[in-house]
Amino acid sequence: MLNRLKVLRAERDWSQQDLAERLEVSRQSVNAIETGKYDPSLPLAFRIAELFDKPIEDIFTSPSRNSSKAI
Amino acid sequence: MNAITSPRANSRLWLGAYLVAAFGTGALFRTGVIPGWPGVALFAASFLLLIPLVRSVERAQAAAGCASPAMRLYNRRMVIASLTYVVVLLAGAGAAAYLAPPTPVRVVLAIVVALPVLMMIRAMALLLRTETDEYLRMRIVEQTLIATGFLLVAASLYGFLNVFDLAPRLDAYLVVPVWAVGLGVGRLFQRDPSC
Repeated sequence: MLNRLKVLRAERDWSQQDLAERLEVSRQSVNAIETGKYDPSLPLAFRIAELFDKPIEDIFTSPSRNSSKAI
Repeated sequence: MNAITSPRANSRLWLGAYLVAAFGTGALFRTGVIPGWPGVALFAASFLLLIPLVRSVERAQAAAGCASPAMRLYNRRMVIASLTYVVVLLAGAGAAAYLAPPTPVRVVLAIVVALPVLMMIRAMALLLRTETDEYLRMRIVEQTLIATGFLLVAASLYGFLNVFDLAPRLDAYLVVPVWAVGLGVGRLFQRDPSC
């Protein structure tokens, strides 16, 4: 699942460690989500959205929407 | 082993030192180079290297950004269980060999020797229950599934090799170290092997 986590983090000048501490997860988790290796659970996705004060769909791109665009 | 090496390389050096010490002292005892209690004591002492090994692993985990309070507790529980296992196993084996106790006592000895192994399994269960980081928990679950598959394949294959007289019979308690090797294999197969 594509996401804008890296961009949103950079806008705030936060390191992965900063974001990890704010979300109370490991830095490796943030890295795995940013690089698309891991899709967060819905509760974690909501926490991320609340932290950035944005709707979930502004941060995460639906895989089906992404593939339909490609078609 | 100081700051010259990276935390990950440092932990690998400690792992190498531990394996060389454990297998080396074991071989010295089994081949009779250091016989009797001095050989057993040296073999048991080699397991003390687990303490710096686990500390170096924790430093590597912290540097890789995958340390967690639950993982630290798990590491400590595993070291305590492993050291207890070595002491209890050697004492139990010695008591069974030299004192030739009656059957009920041998049953108790077998249970006592198995207890540290149960401590290790409990430590793993507690890790899965208490790890709050969902990504790290998912990695642990993946590793345990791969380890279980590895054990099933190894045990089935070896069992049939034994049935066809191609391999000697092995003790059933070896499933735990084989499963632990499977955990390492599981890490190798994961998409993100940095932790």
